[in-house]
Amino acid sequence: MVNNLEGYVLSISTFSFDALATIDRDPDLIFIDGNVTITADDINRLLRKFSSKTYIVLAENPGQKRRMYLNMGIDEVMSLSELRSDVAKHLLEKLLALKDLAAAEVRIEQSEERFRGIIEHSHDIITLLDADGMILYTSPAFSRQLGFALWEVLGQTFFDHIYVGDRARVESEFRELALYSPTEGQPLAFKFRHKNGEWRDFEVIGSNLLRDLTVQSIVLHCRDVTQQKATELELDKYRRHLEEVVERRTQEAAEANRRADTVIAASPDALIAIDDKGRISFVSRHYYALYPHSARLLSPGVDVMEAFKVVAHEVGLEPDDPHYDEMQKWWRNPKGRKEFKMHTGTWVRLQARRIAETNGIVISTTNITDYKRQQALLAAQSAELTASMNKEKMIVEQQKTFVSMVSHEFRTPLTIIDGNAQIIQKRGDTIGKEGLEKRSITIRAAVERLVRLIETILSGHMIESGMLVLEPKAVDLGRLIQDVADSLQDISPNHKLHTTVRGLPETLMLDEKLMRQTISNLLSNAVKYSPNNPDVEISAFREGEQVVIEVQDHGVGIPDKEQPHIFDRYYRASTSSGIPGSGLGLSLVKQFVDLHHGSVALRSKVGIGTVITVSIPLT
Amino acid sequence: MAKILLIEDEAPVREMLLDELRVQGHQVIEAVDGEEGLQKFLEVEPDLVLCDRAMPGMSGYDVLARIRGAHPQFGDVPFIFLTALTDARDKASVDHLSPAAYMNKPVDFDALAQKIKALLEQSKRTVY
Repeated sequence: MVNNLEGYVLSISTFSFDALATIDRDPDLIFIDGNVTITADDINRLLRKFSSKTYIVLAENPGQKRRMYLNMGIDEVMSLSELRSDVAKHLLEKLLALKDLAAAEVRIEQSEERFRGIIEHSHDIITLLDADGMILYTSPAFSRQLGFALWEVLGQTFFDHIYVGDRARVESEFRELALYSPTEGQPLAFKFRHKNGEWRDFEVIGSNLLRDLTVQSIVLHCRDVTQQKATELELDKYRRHLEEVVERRTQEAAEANRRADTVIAASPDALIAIDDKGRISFVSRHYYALYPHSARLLSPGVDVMEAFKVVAHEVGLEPDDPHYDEMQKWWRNPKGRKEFKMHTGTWVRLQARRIAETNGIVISTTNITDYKRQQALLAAQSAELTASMNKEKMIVEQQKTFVSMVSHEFRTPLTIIDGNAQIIQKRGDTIGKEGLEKRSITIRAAVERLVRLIETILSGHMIESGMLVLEPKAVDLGRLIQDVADSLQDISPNHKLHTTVRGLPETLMLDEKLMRQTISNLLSNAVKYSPNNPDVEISAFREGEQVVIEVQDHGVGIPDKEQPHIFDRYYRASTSSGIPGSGLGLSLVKQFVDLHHGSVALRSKVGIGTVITVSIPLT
Repeated sequence: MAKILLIEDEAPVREMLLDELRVQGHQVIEAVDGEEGLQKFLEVEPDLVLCDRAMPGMSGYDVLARIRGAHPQFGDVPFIFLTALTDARDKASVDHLSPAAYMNKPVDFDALAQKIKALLEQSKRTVY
């Protein structure tokens, strides 16, 4: 009759404990028919067998036993007359409602435990305060974080532990919260004292739940932010340090830049830097002074070859100039040193240096005008010195040759004199009168030669020291020439001297001694330097207001390039090799003629011969 | 008596030496310059040569150099340089040609006679 209901109902109509033994689980409801004979002992056994959750109902005839059953533990006793078909259903429904309630109570209990667990294990401190700020409850985190035992703080005023500087503010906020706001939005920060006296930083969010019947307090979520705050402080400090460092570095960089600018400006060189793409990356101020018209183009970012074109134009270097290509090539790939002269006359030296880090190039431009001037001066001085040293060397060499030659010139007549003297001494009695005479003449000719030589050397010396004075007197030049030629012919039997004199005045005002020496030197040179061609011509004639003496030989001649030096003291032509001579003869001729206000000219060809022409004015 | 070639461009010197050498008993062949001297040397094959050092054209040095270079068979003919060049460098410049003697002018005839005699005695070609 109750099978359509959920639940397990045991209906007992014939009470038997054997039957009860077969029941393996607690029924929800036991219904006992009161017509069955059941003793108090039976009821006790029944109650012991099933748990208290089983609901036991007994139906009986109205009697005195109802109170007894209830006292024994029967849950409900009803009259048999009440027993209708829906009773069991009704009872069961009631029973099930009770079961649901019990389950709900268990769930609430579990939920409470869960929340309590959360609160008690929370890192944050949850504190409940009454409207005056007295601590009603606080979570165990309070003990863990602030060192107080819970019993020490429960019932105390929350504000007592707040840093005195923060207290008034917190209290004011709290009162506002207690009066008006159900929830405080912004966290409130303050210091809270630890039991050991340290101050901890806290952030608190409060919720006003005074009107909530289940809570009836103000709930505070307190978080210890001491560590966080310290970290923030540390971070802040570090940030400030970084800012200082950056500031200092910036200042240092600016200072370094200023210093570099000063140094660059103070440098005598103009500097330009080119990046790896051939563009100007830096230009020192000097460039603007060096190339004022191109200054606009000399700025960072400009292609250096563009700048080159403009600067080249400014310094007067045009593309048709052969140096233009050379310079352009250099600027295209600057390397090493380059020197050039600007049209203003300024010399400039370019010097390129590669910067390894950036692959750029720094080019310095130095004004080396002074250096170049010094260099030119030095070169000139050096050349002058070399020339003068060479001249000195030449003079020394010439003097050596002179000494050697003079020695030879002296020794030859001395040899003749000495040899003949030895012959006379040894064989004077055997060579006869004729022999003696011959020896004497030879000796005298040699002496004559010596005298001439001495005179030549003396004249040279006197001219050199300015002691020679012209002593003119009336001289028959034609006769003088013939005289000299004759005496030379005597000692030069291998040569043939041809004399031609025509149209000369009877006498001329000349220094006879010097003129004799002049003619003698010219004729003896002609003989000496034509060893293989015996003919020597001497002629004298009048030409306008001048008297001309011309001596011609067909001898060795004088090379063209040596002719300008032939009248120099000690100078001897290269063709004179092997022929004795002092290098004085012609220099004396020139000076004697000069003393007579005349002139000497020379025509000569190597291997053909030489003509020397002396011209002397008539007056 | 020996056959002596005398090479000297200065006529008075040459004449004087010629006279003296002949008086000393030698056969003397004279030459007025270097070229003639070399030519006569080859012609007469003298026992001794007396040669001036400085001469125009072919000098005494050139003559001896030619004999030493081109005619080594006459290497043992004594060659005496007579010179008025007293520069020591000049003497040094002919040393490598090994002249038998180098005599300065003026010449002492007795010294010359002794030198000639000594050189001829050394020479294989002496006719003594």
